[in-house]
Amino acid sequence: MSEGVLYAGAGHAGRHADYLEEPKGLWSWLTTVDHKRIGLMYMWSVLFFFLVGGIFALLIRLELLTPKQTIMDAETYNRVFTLHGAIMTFLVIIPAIPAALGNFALPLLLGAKDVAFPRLNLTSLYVYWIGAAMAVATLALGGVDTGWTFYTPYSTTTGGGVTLMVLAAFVLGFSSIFTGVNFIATIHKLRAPGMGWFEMPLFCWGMYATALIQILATPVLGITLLLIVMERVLGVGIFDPQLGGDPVLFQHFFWFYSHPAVYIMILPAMAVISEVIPTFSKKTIFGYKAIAFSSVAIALLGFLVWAHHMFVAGISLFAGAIFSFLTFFIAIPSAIKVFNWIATMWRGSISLEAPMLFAISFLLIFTIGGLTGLFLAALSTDVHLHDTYFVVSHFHYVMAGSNLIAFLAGIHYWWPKMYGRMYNTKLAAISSAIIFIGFNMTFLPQFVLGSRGMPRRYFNYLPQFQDLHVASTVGSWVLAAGLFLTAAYLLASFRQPKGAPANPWGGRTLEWETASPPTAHNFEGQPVLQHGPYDYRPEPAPVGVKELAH
Amino acid sequence: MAHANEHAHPVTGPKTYGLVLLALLVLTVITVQASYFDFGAWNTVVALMIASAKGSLVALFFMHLRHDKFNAVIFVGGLLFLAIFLIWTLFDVATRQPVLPSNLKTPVQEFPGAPLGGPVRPSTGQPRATPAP
Amino acid sequence: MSTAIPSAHAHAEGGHAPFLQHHFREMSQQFDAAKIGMWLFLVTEVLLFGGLFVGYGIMHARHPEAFMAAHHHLDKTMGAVNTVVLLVSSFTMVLSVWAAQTSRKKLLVLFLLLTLACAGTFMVVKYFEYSHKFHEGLLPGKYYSHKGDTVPGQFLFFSFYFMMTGLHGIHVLLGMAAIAWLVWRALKGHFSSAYYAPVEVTGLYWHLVDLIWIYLFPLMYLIS
Repeated sequence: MSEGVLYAGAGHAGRHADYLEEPKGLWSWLTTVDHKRIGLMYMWSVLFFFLVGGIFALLIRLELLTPKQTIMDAETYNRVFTLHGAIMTFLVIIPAIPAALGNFALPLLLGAKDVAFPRLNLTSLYVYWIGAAMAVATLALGGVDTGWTFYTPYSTTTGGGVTLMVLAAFVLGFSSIFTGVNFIATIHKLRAPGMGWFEMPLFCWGMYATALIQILATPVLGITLLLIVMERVLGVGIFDPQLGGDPVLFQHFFWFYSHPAVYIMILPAMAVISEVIPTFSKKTIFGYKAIAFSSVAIALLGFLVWAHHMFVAGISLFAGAIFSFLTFFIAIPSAIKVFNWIATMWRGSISLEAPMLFAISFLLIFTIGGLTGLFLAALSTDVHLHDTYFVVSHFHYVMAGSNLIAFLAGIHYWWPKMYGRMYNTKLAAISSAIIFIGFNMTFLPQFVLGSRGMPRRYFNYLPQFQDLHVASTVGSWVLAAGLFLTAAYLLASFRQPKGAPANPWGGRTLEWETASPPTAHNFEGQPVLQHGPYDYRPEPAPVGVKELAH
Repeated sequence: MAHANEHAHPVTGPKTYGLVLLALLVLTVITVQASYFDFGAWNTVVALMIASAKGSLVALFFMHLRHDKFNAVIFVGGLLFLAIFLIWTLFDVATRQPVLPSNLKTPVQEFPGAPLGGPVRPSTGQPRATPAP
Repeated sequence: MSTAIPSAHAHAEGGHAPFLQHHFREMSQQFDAAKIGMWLFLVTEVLLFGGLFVGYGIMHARHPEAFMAAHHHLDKTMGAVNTVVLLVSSFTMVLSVWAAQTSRKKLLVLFLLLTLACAGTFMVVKYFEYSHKFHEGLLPGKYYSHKGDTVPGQFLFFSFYFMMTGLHGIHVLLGMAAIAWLVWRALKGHFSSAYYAPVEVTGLYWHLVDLIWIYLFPLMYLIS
């Protein structure tokens, strides 16, 4: 089949207007099916809700500065931490990397013009906005005080906007499913000619594994949330023991989604790190297949371990022991990844640019978060640590720390590709250090608090915990300062001219072979793979796009 | 190249589909008749096996899965995860006592078949009568 | 916009494949992607209903007498009629796929309309069943007001009956909307052996709706 004339990919930046310029106008953005524009709109939406959720987090920490009431009453405190959790989980962490960076980068990395179903992609964004509006609207109904987990029987009996919040999460689930369907179909059908499964950049493997979970787990959350609505509206009885139901069943339903969902949060983070580390180590990734398969292994194993959230909920001891045993297996593929990343850096020529600094922060924070997870996986330790600040700290290390720092790494990595502009790299290096210090200052004390018995979600606490709480609160201010600094220099980069080169970091994946920013259809013609994604051999194969012989 | 559809995907004719429909209708009659017999504990199993036979016919012929290995893997994979969900949940529910309501007035009795029974909830050390949090 | 890309340009100008989207190289790639997408969506549907099936299974196991007593209120004949109606609709749906594959436009429209008629029949029967239950106070959860029960807890069965058949009914209605859209496009002459992906994937969805009913029927009407 003749595809017509093809152009060389690099060096033709001036030929066509880039995707940001053409077509113009707000309406063209709202009706776009371009994955890059959708990715950017997702990114800014996510960052907006990150700001909202972050303000709630600062309020929580401020309240906990003193053992008694500081700035809000207990009822308000319950609503604030619920909104913090719900917004951060459903509106920020889950869509952050797949829907924002994934949408932007995945087709570029695959050498495709777009995702498989561009209109579905736009629909997913609108569904996200509708769900987000519903979640925020619960504030008008008096907020939600159940915690983001909506445990029954409390969630089926308390007042406020629980029904609306639950429906919001249901709607947001569709957005997640649409993204997952799109990515799997895209990876299967739209890889560039010559790109086999093992020539794909590892980011794509991470997205694939994430999409598997989005498809297999999200619908169960959907039905669980509908059952809560049914319980509230009709009193159907499935989760109500007085009607013959079983509230622990709710936890099974909820965690069948929500445990795999924590891998929706971490796998994309790992995917970003797998791109950043080889690029800034100028070295072929160590153990490509091990990293690729460990992503899929984490995704699938993640479905076998959910009841480790329920060790003290009254599940049978027998089931608890089995789930505890299986949970330890998750550590294996996770450790495989960390070892491979470190082996990639070993004797590489490492350049400590901002994305790499964030990636190294990720390695440290993820290791702490992952290893403390093992404490909680052990049945007997968990009985002691369950529902304490130890758990809070653990999941902030893996979800907040690892995911958001990897999100920042990805933003810094692809920012020149997104906007064709470079940010202030010195400030970026400084802010990555401030964020790392602030994050650890906030959450390391919480491990100690938790192991000494400070329960989570409590409004007041015993005076002996105050020192550590103060340290944690001050840490939250440092973290916020680092994040505001990041926002400042990223926004300031818009005052720079569009001067970023096509390949600022010397990366070898396909997105660096098109202009920064790319044209609407990504590449001039169909790129054909000339070399592997991490081919940093001293004399690299000729870079560029060759004519497609078909 | 643009007309690849009919070459790539074998077309099954109405005759085959008619036979499949006939088989489905026969199985429907069988399952309704079977519901009047008492197989004891096997009632549900028999009904679900007939339903699965019907479902397989629909999936293999009407949904073209017999010519479509790739999507068959997707679909069977989905069913596998549904099975994990069902079995893992049942596994817990079957090996513990039911959660009891907080306003239960009668003394809590031991349930036969709960292997880890006893007066104390194993994981928390709380008395059984306390409802799950 | 499409002129930026020579390959898309060539297709658009050549007019060989008017329904080929710009980001696919050829029709077969687009067709395969559409099918993968629909199958993935069907998996999400299976797991969505799966949650209800798991809940039903556990509640049934816990309250066998109540479920047994309650299911006698359902009308086996109506359930069986609806099963046959849905099976026939699956048959006409697959024939409309065949008609599209072999470029038989009139037959395609006919079979689609027959499918729509079967779906409508299903909903009418469902309407009579539901109104009968409402009349007798056999309602879900706290609205259950049936008098003269000998076994307690029968409302649980009806909670599941209405949630499961209700969710299924919503899917039937969505399927009817999709099929009506296909009829409209078929009348405009969009479908032929070169392009029938929408008929194929809507068919897949419709068969899944049938497949779920195949399991709902014995679980609701026949379990003893």
